[in-house]
Amino acid sequence: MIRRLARYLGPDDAVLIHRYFRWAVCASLLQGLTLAFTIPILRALLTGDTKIAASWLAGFCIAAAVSWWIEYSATLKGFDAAGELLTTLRHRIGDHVATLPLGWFTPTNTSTLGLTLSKGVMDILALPVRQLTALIKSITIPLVLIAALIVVDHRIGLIALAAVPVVAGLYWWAGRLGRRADAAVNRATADASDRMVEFAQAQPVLRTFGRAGSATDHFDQALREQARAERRQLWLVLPPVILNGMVVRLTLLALLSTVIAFAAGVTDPLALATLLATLPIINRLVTPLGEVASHATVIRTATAQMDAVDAILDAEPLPEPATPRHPAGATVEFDNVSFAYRTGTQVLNDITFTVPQGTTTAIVGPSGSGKSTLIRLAARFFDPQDSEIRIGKTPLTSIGAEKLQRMVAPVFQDNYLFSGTLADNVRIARPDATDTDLDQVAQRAGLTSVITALPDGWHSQVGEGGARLSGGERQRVAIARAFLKDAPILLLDEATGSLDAENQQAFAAAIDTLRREKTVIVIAHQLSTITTADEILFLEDGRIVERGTHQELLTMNQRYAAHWRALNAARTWRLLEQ
Amino acid sequence: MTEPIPRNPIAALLRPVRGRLVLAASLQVVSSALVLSPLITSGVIARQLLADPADRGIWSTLLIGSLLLGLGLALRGAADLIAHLADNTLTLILRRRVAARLRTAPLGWFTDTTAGQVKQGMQDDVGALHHLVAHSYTEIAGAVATPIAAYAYLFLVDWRLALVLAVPVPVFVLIYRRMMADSGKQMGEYGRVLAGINSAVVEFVDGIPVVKTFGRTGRAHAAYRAAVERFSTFFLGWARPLIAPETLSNQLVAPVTLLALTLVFGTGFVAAGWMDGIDVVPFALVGLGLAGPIGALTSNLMALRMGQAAAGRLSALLRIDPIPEPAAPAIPSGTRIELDHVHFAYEPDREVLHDLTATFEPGSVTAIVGASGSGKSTLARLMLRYADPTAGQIRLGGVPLDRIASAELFRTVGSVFQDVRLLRAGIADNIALARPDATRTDIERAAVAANIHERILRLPRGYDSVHGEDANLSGGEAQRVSIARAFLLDPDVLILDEATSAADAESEHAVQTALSALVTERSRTVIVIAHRLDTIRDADRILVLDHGRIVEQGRHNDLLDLDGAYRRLWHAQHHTEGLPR
Repeated sequence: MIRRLARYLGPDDAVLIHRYFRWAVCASLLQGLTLAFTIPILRALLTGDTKIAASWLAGFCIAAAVSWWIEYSATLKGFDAAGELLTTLRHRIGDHVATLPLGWFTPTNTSTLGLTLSKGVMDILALPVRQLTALIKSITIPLVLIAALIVVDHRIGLIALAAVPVVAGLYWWAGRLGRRADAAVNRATADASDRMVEFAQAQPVLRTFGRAGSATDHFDQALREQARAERRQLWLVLPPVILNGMVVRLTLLALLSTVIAFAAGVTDPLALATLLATLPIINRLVTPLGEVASHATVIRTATAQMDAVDAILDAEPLPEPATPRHPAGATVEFDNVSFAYRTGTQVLNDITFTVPQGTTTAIVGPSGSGKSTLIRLAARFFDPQDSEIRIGKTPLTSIGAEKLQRMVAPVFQDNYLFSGTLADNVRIARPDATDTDLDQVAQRAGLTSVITALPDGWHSQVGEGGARLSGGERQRVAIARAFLKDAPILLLDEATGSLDAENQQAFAAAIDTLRREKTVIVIAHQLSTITTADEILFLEDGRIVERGTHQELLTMNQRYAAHWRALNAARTWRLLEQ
Repeated sequence: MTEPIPRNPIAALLRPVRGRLVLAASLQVVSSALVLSPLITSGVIARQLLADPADRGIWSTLLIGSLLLGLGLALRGAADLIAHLADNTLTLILRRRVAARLRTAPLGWFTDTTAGQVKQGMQDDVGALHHLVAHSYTEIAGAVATPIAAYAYLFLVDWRLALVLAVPVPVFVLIYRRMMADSGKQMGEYGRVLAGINSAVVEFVDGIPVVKTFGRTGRAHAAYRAAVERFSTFFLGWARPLIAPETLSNQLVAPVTLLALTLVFGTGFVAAGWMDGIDVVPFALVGLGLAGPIGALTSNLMALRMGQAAAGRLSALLRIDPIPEPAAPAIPSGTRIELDHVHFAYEPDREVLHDLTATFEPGSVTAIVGASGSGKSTLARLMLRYADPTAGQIRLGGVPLDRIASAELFRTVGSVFQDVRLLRAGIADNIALARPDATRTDIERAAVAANIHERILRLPRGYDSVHGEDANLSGGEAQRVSIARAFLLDPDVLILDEATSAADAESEHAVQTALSALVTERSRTVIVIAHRLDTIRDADRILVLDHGRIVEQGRHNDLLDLDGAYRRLWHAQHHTEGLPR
């Protein structure tokens, strides 16, 4: 664990954590030693020799004072390490994810990343500040005391030593039982709360379909059954809780009884006093053992966070070419491209097509056919397996991230806006753009009406994630960005499900303008986009099953034609027909 | 009829299990004293042995000590059991109370935000209360009782040394409170800095794909780095001065310190002849365990604070204003719907519907159109009494909606909206939601009419397949199930939302055909919220909404001739698609 923390700090600062560790161990050793002084002092007191007691007491006091000071220093050292970790770890993760391919940023990964950066880092930080010191103490002090006992009376020492693995084993077992019970309980609670949420969400349906009464009884019964099930789980939950409380007490009783058994009948006063003086030490030895378990739980949480950190740091950026090559033109070629996500499901198979510079290729197909993956491959969200995608005769892998992002403008559905002004958000595409440039692209992207409707125009704040704009308005900002960026290749996802008529129209008009100047690959939903494309690829189950122009494909009268008829029927449907 | 906020939400919530909690805590108190017995009896036995090494009496002492420990552990188990059972009861009570509230809350209350609140309430808040009820109260009782019992015993052994050992406690409390006060002052600032770093993290994480596509990683990155630095600077500046007092207060109650006091003063007192050497042993045995209970106390007080916050949120959830049911419901005569100067605002002074007056005749088809945000969905929901108008009246068959029993209202007025909810139940049950007594033949007939029968037959268990388990229907298919519901309900008035484009054209068209069948099956009053104007150009009447007002109404061709809002909408939609007028 220390090694992992050291790795997070990097070679220059790793010394901080090692230094802390050494001081913490020293402090614990010395504290154990201090406690061990109890035996001779008590022995002296029991034999009535206060002088000898006083001289041992002097040693005790010195050891205690030094151990206080060392512990304070160890705390400071731990704090130094934590302070450095706090900054370094966040920077390190931040720097690393900035190099990761876009394909890495799935909802699961980004939510883990967010949690790790905010909560995870703080959990890891608490290790050198609190938990580790406590854990080191609860392990070291009993060991020192056992050593002291062996010196004083090897029988007691060895028996105490033998008790350690037993206690550890019992705790380990209780911990395992407890975790299993917790997991079961958590599943049950999650299930119950899912049902509650479902019940809340279904209220409109439950009530408007006029069966509130019976559905209610049904739900109430489900709640009662849930409670009964949870009650049955108590037989799983309680034993480890009770066991945890018993282990220390019973071990203590057993060891104390052992000492008493040895002491019974010993007539030599000094020997008897020695044995009796070990009684408090037995207590000091067993109690920390009981705390190991609770420290270990906290540390397990932190370890899980460290695993999350490692998973992020281990994600590999896409390989960058040593010497980036410049693409000759903006023709896009997919050469026998296949792709599978890490989960193993094959998404694309043998995709081969060429989009000549300045033409538009429309991708059409049922949902789940691999359209989104295909278009994302062109922006190098991921690299395909054993195959090549080329722009201007140059493989994406040899172009280099920087040049590639200048060539390609993606307009997908997740149009993230960062908090700041509208102008900031458009200008991200070209920081040196003038106000006139901005006005021009706004005009072409249909953004002008949005700007005039906002109180501060271009300087209006868009809110976190662009929350103050509607989905359609955010999409227009994304198009404005694409205009301003003026990249030769446009990748477009035309899904317009969330847009109202007015926004759809603005969107379509803007796209129409862009299309005339660029190489375009578009996931097409609009009838006009499809009919005017230079080539249509009909995708099904990750394969191109038909290709050609709209007319050619209609003439073939196969899958595309069927799709087109359905699309057309859907678009021209009238509610009252028949 | 908002209920008053209870002054102490946690006490109010826990009232049903208060007796059991008190019992569990009392058992725990007794148990805490009893489990000290091995330490106390060891001290007693040491004394017996010193007096007479051959004393056989030690064995009975040891036996008594062991029995007392056994009793203590048993009581403790009982306390845990009682506390967990109390928790079990409380959880059920809370869930049922929340469910009862959800049933009476106005339908307008249910949004994504409130679903999140319900989830937070049922998962996190009930969880926090679970910890409190099942663990914290007994642990707090134990943490308080243990040192008190120990000190009481030591006081009997030797009151002078017991007093000396008690000294660190008030000093600890003093330092701890000073420390809390100091850090409390900065707590507000800490909250702000924490919020700052959290939102920087969110922005960085969510925004990075976008900034990367524009090659501007540096910008978002710089903001993030700055927030990290700000947080670190504040956090370290805040925490560093606390190290010294924290270490000091921890050391004060640490075993080494208490042992030092015991031995130094014990030796002194023995030398002075105030006590025997053997009297020091009980102190060294029993008197050093302060740190453990104090640690347990602080961590459980934290749980108590979290429980309080959770209880506050839960109480808020339990105080949703119910939508009033009429005391003496009236029966509507007929199915004419009238809007009479209807106003509506979600929040005061942000009215979204202004003075709407219109009549929907029985058997007619009326379309409501308008740009997004014009208020058409809100209007549709008011007619289903998701909320009551802030001014004016909506009448069904001459009776204001708030005087019609909701069961009666929903028997007459059916709806098909886009946000389809299927329940985690059999598909047949989902369709028969409106009429639990429907026969399988009725259900299948409805499914056939809604174009979904064949799809259902292809499910693993056909009509008995359970949604979310072995029935995984697509959005369009779920929509058709909800249309089948409406077929089975067969309401006189139908309010529907025209389906917008689903992911699949085929699926979309299947939904459309089902909707057409529902509307044309028999004569009913139909009110349709339309997004695409082509869909409803044959409607008997079209209401055009603009910013919450009815600006035009009439038939399609008349509206086009008006050359106003409707024509503009029509033009906007046909500019791109190039379809014939």
